[in-house]
Amino acid sequence: MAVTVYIPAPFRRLTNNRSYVEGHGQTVAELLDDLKARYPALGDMLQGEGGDLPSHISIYVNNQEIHSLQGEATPLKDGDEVAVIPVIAGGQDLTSEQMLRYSRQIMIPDVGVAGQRKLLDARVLVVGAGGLGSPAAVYLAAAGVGTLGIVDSDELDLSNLQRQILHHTPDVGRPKVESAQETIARYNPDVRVIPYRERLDAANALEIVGQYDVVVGAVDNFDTRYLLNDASYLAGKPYVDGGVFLFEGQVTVFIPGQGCYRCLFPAPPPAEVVPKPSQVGLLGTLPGVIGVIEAFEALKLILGLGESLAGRLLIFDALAMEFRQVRTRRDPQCPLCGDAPTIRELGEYKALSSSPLAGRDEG
Amino acid sequence: MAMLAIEQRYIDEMIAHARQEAPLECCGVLGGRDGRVLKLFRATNAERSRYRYNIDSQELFRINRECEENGWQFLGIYHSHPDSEAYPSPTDVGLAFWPESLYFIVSLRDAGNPEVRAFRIRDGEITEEEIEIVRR
Amino acid sequence: MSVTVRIPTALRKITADQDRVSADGGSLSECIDALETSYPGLKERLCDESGEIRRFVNVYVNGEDVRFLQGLVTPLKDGDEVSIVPAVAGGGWA
Repeated sequence: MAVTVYIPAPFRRLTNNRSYVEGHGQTVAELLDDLKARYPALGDMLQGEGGDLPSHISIYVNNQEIHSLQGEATPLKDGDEVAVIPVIAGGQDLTSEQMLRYSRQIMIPDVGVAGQRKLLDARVLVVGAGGLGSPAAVYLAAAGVGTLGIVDSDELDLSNLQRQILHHTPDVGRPKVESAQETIARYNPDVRVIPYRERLDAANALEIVGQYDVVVGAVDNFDTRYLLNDASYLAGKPYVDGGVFLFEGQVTVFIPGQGCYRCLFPAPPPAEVVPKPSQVGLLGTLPGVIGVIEAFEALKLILGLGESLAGRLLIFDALAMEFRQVRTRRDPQCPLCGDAPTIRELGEYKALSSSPLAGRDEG
Repeated sequence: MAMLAIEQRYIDEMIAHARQEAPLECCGVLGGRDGRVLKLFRATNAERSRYRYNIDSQELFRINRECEENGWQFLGIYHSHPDSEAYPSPTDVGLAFWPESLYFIVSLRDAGNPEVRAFRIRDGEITEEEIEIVRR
Repeated sequence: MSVTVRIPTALRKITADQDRVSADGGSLSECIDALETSYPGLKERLCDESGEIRRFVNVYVNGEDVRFLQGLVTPLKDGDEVSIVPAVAGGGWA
């Protein structure tokens, strides 16, 4: 097939200053071989490691970049126009202050500067700026997660300060997202906090969740738990789930397609048997532990490190100071992520146990 | 080599673009001929990163095509350094595949005082060029 | 078959604060009945009126949810570990 090849300015000195040359080949790969034979200097530019096309060269067939076609196997016909254009790319490096600030994690071989950049580029949503959300947000910020969304509609109460380390005594009465933002700024000015002083609900959840890479659930009620689970799954986001009660904590990770909170617990306890959080005591160290584990799992997901808790529920017994695990699975009958899902959009989450969304079968 | 004549409005536009995209890096192309910038093309940073920019490949094709049709060259390529200085990083140098273009870098390191500087990057060597501001 | 049963925080008042107890039973339902005998009131927390395990409580045998095994008739052998794990969300479950 005889095609015309467009040569951009940077390569013209290699083709006798011609902007257009003729080429032959049934596929892009064959055309490239043809070009390499006729213009060896150009050929050198098109030769990457292992003989593959270098990643900094884009090839277009009739206006379309070949990655959206069949790559180098893209077929050519007579009269096609192929363009070979180097990318326009680059980027700043970490500042020397950042290199020092994050030096203790950059020095970990599996993290390095590349990992630190991933963290700084990452967007994590923390739903709840309370007992679980506080330690989670603090450690995510300290590690340099570049964008932290924080969702909480409440004002700070004095009794919160027993455990909610994102806030301080002078903040009592203020919206929690405000004190959260200030605390995080003092820990790490690299972090951009996006505050959501609202409750997550069916109207806003998908839009909010959709803007983040990882969702960290730090809520104290089942309604929001199921809503967040559903929104994360529908938006395709990994969801780190944590909960505490008295002296016990649970934490796991849900990757869309590998199970969700509904697979684990198809229905919450009936509203009438669930005491309000203010009626159940706990030592601050309990959500402290679980919140930090949630942050850890979020960091591992961003950095691609270790084994995530996906597929396992970690159970923490603080009195015995024991961790154990049980296996979690995707339930093929799950109404959200099973084989025949019935939940395709967010619905009502009040008094879940009596709503049609409570589970597959009504009990 | 030919000096690049650029109007203040293009400098202002690069800064505006950088601020709009911050904390992510912005990028774009300055098209023109005979050493004179005639159009600023804002481009989409396909990396959507604070630490990398890469002009979306389809946009690059369109910008290139429009310049070709108008008889323009890529007189300049600009991108921002939201946090660091207006100087080519080792990454910038390693990925400078358009040696005929002047590389403009907008630094937002000092938020109230953005800085724009221009560099020729050729064979791994950086040469700063003075930016000549001209009236229309 | 003698198995170890891990008791969640929420139920320890019923088991005199023990976080693990022993029970006998060839199947999970026999084990639950045995637990009820030793710790009256436990079964009613675990199971509803029809005798099925409540949907906000999971029971695991050796780390596997019995919903994916044989439910209440999941067989047990000596040394197995049964875990009772309720859903928790701050408020928990009275």
